[in-house]
Amino acid sequence: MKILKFKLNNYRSFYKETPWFFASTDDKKNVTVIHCENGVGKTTLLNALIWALYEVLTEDLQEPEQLANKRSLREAKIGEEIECYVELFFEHLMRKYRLKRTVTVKKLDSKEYVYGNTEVIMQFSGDNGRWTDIKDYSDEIGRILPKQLHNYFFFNGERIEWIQRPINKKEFIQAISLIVGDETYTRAIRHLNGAKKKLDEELANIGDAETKYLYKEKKELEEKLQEIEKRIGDNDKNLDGYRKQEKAFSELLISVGGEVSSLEEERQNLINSLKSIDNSLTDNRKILTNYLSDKGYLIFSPNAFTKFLDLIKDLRASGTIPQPYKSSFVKKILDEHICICGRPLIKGEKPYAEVETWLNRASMSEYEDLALKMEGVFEESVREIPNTFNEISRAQKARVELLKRKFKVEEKIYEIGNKLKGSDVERARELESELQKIRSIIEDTIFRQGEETKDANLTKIAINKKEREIEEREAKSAREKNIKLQIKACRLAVNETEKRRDSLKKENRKDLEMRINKIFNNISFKPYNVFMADDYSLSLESIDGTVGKSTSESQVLSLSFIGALMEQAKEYTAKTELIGLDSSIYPMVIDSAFGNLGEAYQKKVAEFTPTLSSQSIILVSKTQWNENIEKIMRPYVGKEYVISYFTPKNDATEINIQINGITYDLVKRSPVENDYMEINEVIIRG
Amino acid sequence: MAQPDSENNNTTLSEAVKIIVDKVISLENSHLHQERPQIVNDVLSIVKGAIIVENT
Repeated sequence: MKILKFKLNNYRSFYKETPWFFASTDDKKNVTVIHCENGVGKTTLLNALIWALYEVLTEDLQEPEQLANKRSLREAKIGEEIECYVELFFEHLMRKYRLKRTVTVKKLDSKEYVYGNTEVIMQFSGDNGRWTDIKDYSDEIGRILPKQLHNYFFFNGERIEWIQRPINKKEFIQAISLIVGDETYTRAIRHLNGAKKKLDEELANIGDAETKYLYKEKKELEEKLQEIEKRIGDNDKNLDGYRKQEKAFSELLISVGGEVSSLEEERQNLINSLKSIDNSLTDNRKILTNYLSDKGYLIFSPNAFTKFLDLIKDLRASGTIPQPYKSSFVKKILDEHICICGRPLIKGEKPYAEVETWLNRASMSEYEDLALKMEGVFEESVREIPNTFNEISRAQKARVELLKRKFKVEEKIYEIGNKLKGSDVERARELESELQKIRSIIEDTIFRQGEETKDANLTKIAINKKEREIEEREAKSAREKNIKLQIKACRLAVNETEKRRDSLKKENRKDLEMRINKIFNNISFKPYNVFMADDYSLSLESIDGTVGKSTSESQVLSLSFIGALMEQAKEYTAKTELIGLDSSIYPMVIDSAFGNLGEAYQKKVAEFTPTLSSQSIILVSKTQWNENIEKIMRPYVGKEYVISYFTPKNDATEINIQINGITYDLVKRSPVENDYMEINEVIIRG
Repeated sequence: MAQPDSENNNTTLSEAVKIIVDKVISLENSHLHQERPQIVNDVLSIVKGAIIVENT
């Protein structure tokens, strides 16, 4: 997908219709820069594109319900309707698209307005050049650039850290799965199970009475499982909502100021420490489990080892082992009928019988070899016992330390809660009380979720048992046999697909971590390694362990994540010839790309941005577009705009920017009593 | 509807499973951005096709 041009009409801060913003479609000069001061319309432009495509807005947008331009509403007559729209032209797989999303707002009186439904026109330009309407526009957009991925293509650079702390983790992981390809396998598993269910129904209809009854029982269990899974899903959604509320209350407490803010900030830090301790406890449990499953038997075996080794020692001392002859050697002598002393050996005579007794004794040599081998293994095991004891004891000590730390942190959190509950500030008391209520609901929900999950697992076991019972019944007809085979194939196919998905996931995660490290280390000047956890959260590690991330590092880390993910997606789609994500072309629209970064990082991110995607649109204020960035990015800029804001305030500070020797106003005092904006395209040289 | 390949007349169950998985993955890849309700029927056809091969 490549953006060609877009315009806004009465959309948020943009009064009436803007001229077209043309995006650069040049492969080398692939960056479009829009200069605009903070608070004038940068975030609005980012949101206009997201709204046009998906009818959603970013979380940082102030007054999201106010889509229509306030001045247009003020100037409208009572009863009059004004149109607020965003129109976008883009290209995808050699086809041109036009998309226009409009909402009409009716003025009821000087203060009240009513918003109508949004209307969408989506068209594509056919071979004959005529525009044809697309009815299922949302499906079409989903195929071009899936909605759940839009956060990776349209984002605010200053707030990009959300990638490391997504509110809805499930949705986040699903989006990543879609990008890197393992969603294909998840769906294959779901649909194979769907096919299996249909085959089960088919079989139930032709089976005998007992089989039918078993199927009925299995169906009931499956329905029960479905209900439990629905409840689990609902609980997950509720938890997301409760956590949002919890976060909002916590932020409100911080905004109270003074001691209340410090206490809440301290509590948030403690909650983070608690999470990190819990992670360490999980790791510790894994270490202990591994030790116990690999080496645990050693603890219970020393007596058996010693007894065996003593026995071998005694046998050796008595000369019973090792045997002087191998059975093959004795057999050869008997076959050749001549003893090693030269005496002839004739069957039935005494010398033959004497040598033959050696054959019986020598045939025990296989056991003897085995016993000697076991002696070596047991000696090694005996030596290993103290080490195993030490390692397990070390892991247990670490566990005790972690539990002590956990207890202390929990105690401190509890104390802070009490302090806030008894605070002199009424607002703090109220907020803390709300926060405690919501936390109690979260705890209850998590508890319920645990119970439901347990119930779901038990039901799954019961279903498996029922399936085995059904399987055990003999096939009554050729058709039944055939369907049974198909069901078996379905089950095996699910197993095989799960295996492939797990191996792909493992491979992809390793590859993704490597790519993130490569990009991060290219941008960062610090010698850190990036570590990616199971839930895709990222941490930085130095040789001394995990290090805290600065704001710049967090931002760079998230950009590295996006870059690595896109790089991987490009390779994946090229490999599988997916048509959904066009193999290499997608836009990236970044609001305040360099906002919170330190100087050194700004330069590196500026170098990285043109390579991040095949088309970048970056929205910057004057301070975000400094001399260093200008120097690095200039060769890649294919289109450039300046949005000038004219303010009626007489004492406003005027701001301008020099581009190619020409001065452009960013903020200027207005000659009239209204504020207004002007959009100017910068002439690109060279 | 998936049809059995004539050269796979002696397909064992494990080979049939591999064929099913490959075909289903390929089907899913081509519909990754739009989940159609009838996709389960297509998967069922693939399974039936592969097993018919195994039985002949």
